[in-house]
Amino acid sequence: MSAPVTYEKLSARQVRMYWGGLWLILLGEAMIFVTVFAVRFLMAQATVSPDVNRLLGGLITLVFLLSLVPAQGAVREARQGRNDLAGRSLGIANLMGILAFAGVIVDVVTVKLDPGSRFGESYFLATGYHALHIVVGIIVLSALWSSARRGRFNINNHWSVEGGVMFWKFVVLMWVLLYVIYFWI
Amino acid sequence: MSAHAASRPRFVEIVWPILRASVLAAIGYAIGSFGIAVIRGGTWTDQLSIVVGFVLGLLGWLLGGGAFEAWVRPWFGHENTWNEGHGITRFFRYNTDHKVIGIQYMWGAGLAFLVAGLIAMGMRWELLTPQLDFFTNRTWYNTAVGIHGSLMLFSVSVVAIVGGFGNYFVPLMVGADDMVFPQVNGISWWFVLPGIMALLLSPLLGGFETGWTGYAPLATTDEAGQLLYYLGVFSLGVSSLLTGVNVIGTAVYMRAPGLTWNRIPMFVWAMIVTSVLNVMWVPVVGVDMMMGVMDRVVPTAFFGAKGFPLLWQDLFWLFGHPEVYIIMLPAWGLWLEIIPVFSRKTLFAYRWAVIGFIAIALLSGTVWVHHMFTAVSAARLIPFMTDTEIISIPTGFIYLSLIGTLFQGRLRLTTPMLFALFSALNFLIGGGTGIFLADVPSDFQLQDTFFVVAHFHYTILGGMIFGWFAGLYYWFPKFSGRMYNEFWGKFSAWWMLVFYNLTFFTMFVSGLEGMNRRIATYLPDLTNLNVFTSINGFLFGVGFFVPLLNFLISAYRGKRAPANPWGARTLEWMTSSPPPHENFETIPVVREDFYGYGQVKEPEQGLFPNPTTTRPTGPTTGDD
Amino acid sequence: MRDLPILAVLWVILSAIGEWVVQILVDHWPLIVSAQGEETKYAFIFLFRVGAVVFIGVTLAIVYPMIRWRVPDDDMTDSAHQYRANWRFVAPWIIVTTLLNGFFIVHPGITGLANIWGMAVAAANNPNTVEVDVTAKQWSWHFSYPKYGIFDATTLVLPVDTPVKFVLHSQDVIHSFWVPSFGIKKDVIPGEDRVLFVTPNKITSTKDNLLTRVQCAELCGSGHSTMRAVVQVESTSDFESWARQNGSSSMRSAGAGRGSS
Repeated sequence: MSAPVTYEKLSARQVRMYWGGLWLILLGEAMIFVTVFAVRFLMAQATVSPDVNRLLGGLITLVFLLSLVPAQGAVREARQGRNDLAGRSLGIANLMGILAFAGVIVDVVTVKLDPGSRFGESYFLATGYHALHIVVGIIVLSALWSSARRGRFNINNHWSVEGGVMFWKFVVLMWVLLYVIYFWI
Repeated sequence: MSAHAASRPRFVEIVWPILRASVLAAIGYAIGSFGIAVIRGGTWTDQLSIVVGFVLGLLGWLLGGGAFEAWVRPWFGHENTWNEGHGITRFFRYNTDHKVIGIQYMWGAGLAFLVAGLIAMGMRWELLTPQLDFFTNRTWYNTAVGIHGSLMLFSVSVVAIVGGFGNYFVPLMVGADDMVFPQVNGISWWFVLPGIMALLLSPLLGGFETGWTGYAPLATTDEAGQLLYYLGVFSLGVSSLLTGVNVIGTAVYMRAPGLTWNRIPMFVWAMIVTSVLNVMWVPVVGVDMMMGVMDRVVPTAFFGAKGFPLLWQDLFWLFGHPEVYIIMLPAWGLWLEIIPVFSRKTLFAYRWAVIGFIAIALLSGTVWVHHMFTAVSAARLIPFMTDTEIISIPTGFIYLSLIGTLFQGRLRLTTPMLFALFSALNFLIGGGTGIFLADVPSDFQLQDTFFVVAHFHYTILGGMIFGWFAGLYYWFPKFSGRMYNEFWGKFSAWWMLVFYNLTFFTMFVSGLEGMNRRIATYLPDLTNLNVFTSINGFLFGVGFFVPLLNFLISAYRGKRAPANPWGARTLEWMTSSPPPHENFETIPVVREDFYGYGQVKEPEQGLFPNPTTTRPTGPTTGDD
Repeated sequence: MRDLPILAVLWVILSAIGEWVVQILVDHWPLIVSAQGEETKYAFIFLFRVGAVVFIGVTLAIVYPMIRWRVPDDDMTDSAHQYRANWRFVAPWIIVTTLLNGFFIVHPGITGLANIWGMAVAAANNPNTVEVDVTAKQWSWHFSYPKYGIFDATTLVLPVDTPVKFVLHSQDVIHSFWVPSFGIKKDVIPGEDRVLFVTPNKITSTKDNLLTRVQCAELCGSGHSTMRAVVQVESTSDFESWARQNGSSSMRSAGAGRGSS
């Protein structure tokens, strides 16, 4: 196995292509959440069950939002070619993501909602589907962390970090919407 | 790149990635299903065990085929050590060359078509008599109906043209050296076989009763094979989604110099529009499938009597109607590609045809309730009848363009041309009979009868499959490098036309005579119609061996094909048959549109070798 | 050029033949024995007559060039006539197709629906309307006539020329209530009541014509193909005597009691 090298330079056109592709994927993903949220309003109109754990949900939201700080930091550091710093930031963001995921698991397991009820079933559909996206996000952040630790990113090619962190931001945004729609409205 | 030992026998060298993928799939399934069984104290055929088993099995399959070395390790910062093979070994492993992927899709679609077609022959054998005699019970018949429909709609109709031709020819037609995201493209094919296998294995769990439309609440309470339906369709949907992203990206970013938006070939326009529909609507049916799984496994109550039984149908058809346009648009694109070539005439009303495609795509998301006219409240009837009727107007633009091109042309009735024209004639009947179904009063009688079965077979089989064959014969010289046998090609076109119409036209009559859909047994007064349908159906089915043998034999023994046997003008014909690995020796520079016949003299049309133009840098390996 | 007049003449002749064929089919149309069925049949036949002319026209436009302008397969000469568009063809095409589609939406679309809804409203306000509770379950049909005290009948007996209000319930999955010769159907959704108004207008029964039967028209499991029921449309007096014979001795009022569901 040859020693890993840093990534080759990307042309401006390639960067545009990759962003375009990512936005298309996010468009498709957004359709998923639009459908899921629409189902929630169809099923349960504007009622929110009193059994939702707003405190836990709020904590999860807080951790997600805070994770954006090291995530964005990693983007900045990767742009400068600082793999060491980027790696550390990605690691922190990843740990926070894992913590948030653990919170979601605890919530799903402990919440006293009946999965057969109108609100309950949409709640589990949404949190379950979103949880799958958190898992993907964690894998992405782990992969980026591992690549940074191997010094793959440089000033001319750090798109993976930008794209991966954008996906993570999407995951966080979807959670914030989910929190508002399922815990509050 | 690590090399595999030259002393290893050839056969193993070819198949080991698929074998490894299968083994890892089995291991993944075993871990998932037994793991869940152990954790929850159940058996490994419990519903949750099946779901988790399938997911882990799918993961194992993807990794085993090559994604582990080519995707996962590079993500985590290692080198990409995957050998994409050479010669025939490329097709049985993860490979990023769009031409290889296109052929993988074509084979996948072909095999699924063969299996689903044989199932249809079984169904028609059953329907030779009013009683149940071939299938041991009606559940197996319903399962056959479901597998036939699901395979045809999810793993043939979209996979054949969108996956097969789309992958192979879109980069060539825009003058690119590959798709925009070759790695994503490579993995997209690997979702197809698990989807097909899931559907084919559903009988092991008792089959499923619902047909390809999976209506709840029947789907919630019937046999466990329904789970494999949900999971199989989900997997096939992922493949469409990834292909869609690639096609759009390639058309937007990878066009050769001079290929402006108003010069884009009709097939590429059709593929772009199709791919936008795929990206938007496949996720919706994915959510529907997920909810179906949850209603069985958790269980939730989305679709039960206390929930919203019609919600399944709404979400399904929100996807389902755009799906049929996803199926037809590429075929329409093929008509408008092939007909100018074999009429030696400029494509008529190019702009209107493109507007037609785009308008159809925009409207397609607004008409879905016409599948549910007999189920919904009165308030939804007129709006959806209106939209459904209106969509015929842009569809007409395609015929406008087609007819204007044929008129005063010089028509060479070669096999591709015959299939394209037959496709247009069949689709005229199919689309025309759609008017009877769009009209609500008329639909109240016709819904769920064989009239509907005839209508959609005319559009999908008569339209898209005939269009697929037009494309296969048109492009066979390009992707195989050899010419097929023209006599047997024409023979197959006429045979298929005659026996197809004799089989399916009769179904309009059966439907009007009170034969409803998805029944294994019927009342004796319908016997004659069904016997007539079945016998012609068998003759129609048998006819498919002609093109199959024609293609297989010609691939090895056919005359070598020149770069441009048809005298066409689009870019794929400006390179060798088959194209070299990088598609074009030098980047084509497009100087005028592709449909202007009789106007510009050789050699200035199309390709102009220009050594001073630098190749735009493609995607690097180890990256996405 | 002379092609256009030839095409026009061919279109007229073939359309005449086509309409003649359509008329033969109309004369042999499957049995329709309800007022609503007359509407749905009319809608189909109207579209058929107009559609035949359009279909023949477009088919002609595709097949005529195949014969008139055919050249051998190896003849690569470009056509002498090259044009990208021609407003004389494009504009009429777009205008006519748009008008035709718009027309179909209104007639027989909206007009047909208006007639069917009108019949439903009239029936709802008609004191003579017979109410039948239809219960669909895997895999049989059960009919109850609350006003007559008949419950759980498995044969559907109806009076002729009288509006019937079917109230549809499902005990399990989605079914669809369809009598082919009534020309109209409605899906039966679990958890909801659906209403279908039908006015049979001929005395007939399943014995006379198999199209007069109840047939489930939405796949509901393995028993779907045989989920049928016998239908008898009788004269009003015969219906009354049947109802008296089968109903409970004390006539219950419409509000009390329901069919077993």
